[in-house]
Amino acid sequence: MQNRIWRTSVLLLGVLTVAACAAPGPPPKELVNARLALQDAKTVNADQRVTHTYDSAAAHLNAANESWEKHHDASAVLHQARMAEAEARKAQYAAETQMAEETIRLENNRKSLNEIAIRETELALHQAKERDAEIERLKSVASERAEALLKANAALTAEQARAERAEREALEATKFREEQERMATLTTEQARAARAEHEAAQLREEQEKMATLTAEQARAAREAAQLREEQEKMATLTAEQARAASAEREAVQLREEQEKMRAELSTTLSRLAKVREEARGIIVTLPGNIFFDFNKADVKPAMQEQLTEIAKALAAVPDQNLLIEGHTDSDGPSEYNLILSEKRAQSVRSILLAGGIPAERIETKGYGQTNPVAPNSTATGKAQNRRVEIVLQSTK
Amino acid sequence: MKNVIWPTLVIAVSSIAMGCASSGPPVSPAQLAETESVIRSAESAGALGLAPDLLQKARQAYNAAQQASGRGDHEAVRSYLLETTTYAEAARAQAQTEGLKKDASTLHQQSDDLEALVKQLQGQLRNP
Repeated sequence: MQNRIWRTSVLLLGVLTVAACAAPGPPPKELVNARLALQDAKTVNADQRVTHTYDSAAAHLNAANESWEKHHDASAVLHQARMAEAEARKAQYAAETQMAEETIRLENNRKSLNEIAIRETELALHQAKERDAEIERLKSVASERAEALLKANAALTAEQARAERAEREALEATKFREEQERMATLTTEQARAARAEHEAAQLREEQEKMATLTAEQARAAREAAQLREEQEKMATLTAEQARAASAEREAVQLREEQEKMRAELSTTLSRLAKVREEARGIIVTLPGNIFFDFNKADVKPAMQEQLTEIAKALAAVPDQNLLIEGHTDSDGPSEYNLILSEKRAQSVRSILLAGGIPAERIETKGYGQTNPVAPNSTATGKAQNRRVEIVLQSTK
Repeated sequence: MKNVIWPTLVIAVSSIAMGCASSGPPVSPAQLAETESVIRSAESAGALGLAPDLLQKARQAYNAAQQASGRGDHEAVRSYLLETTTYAEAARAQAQTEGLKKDASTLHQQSDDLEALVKQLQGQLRNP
């Protein structure tokens, strides 16, 4: 193909060269138009698409050129040029028609593809819309369900809130009741406490009154007691005075009687033994040499009757205790004398007991030679010191 | 290449010979009418609006053929009728081409519109 084109081009070039060299002037308008038309035809590849027509145009142009260059036949040049132009335009537009048809075919294909794509896309969109609609429906259902769930939740929440509120109110009511009860209890306690305090105050007042009263009573009692005591003292004093007076009288009387009895006793005892009175009482002295044998403790039998008489006389005065004291002279050991004096006091006691004097009234004691009543340097003195003395001690 | 060169040479030579020869047999009115029908065909194809230059040239050639026929130059008549036919066919081809181009342009525009619509729809499909 290239070879053919090349040869044709060379031929045309040669023809044109010859024509140019032989032409007498500028080419006619028809020839110029023919050349331009053939160039336009070649531009759109008419030589390849519509080869026959293009070749015919080229042949006409060659003939025109040749006529213009060699034969200078104007009519032939014009005719060939017009034919060349017309054929070139036919070839050009035939080629362009092919190209347009190809374009149309391509565009139709493209259009078909696009229409298919549109249908597919619309189908996809439709499906997508349906899917979206389904999704929307599902969303709507879900939304309705969610709304219903929300409503249910809201209702549940409200119910829970109401229940909680009711529970809280119940709790508050319970607390309030408890508080009221506690307040009532507290009030009661306070009232009770106030009452108790009042009672305590009253009690205290009463206690104070009682205390005052008690104190007054105590004071009165004390005063009464004191008064009674004083009265008793007075009574006692009076009684004492009376008793003292009585006692004094009795004492006087007793002293008189005692004096009388003492006088009688002294008289009686004076007949039986040597009697003297000292501060400690009446002392009856039984001389040792008369009532006892030498160095003997027993009373001589001849003196026992006399001593019994003394005992009877002493028994008549029961208010007198008897202290029997034994004494010796200084002859002999003192221990011996002491024992001897005790034994002689015991002997006298035995006779007095036998004479009716109770034992509890009699007490004995031996002094030995310690309490002489006369000097032991003489026989008379020694005789006076050997003795037993009965001391009458008043019990009142 | 020989197939191209030789017919070309033959045509050229024939043309030269025809130009130099005397007028041949007369052209029949049917031939003229047939040629004119070719013009009408081009006009029907829309050459009046789409290929006015070529159509005018075809008419000029046809007028020249009529004038040549009046002169009795039958050979010129045949030449002009051939030019008329060729120009009319070119005009019809141009009209047809222009129509096709217009159709192609319309189709192209439609395809572009459809393609834009496809892209739009695909865009909607991707981003509903």
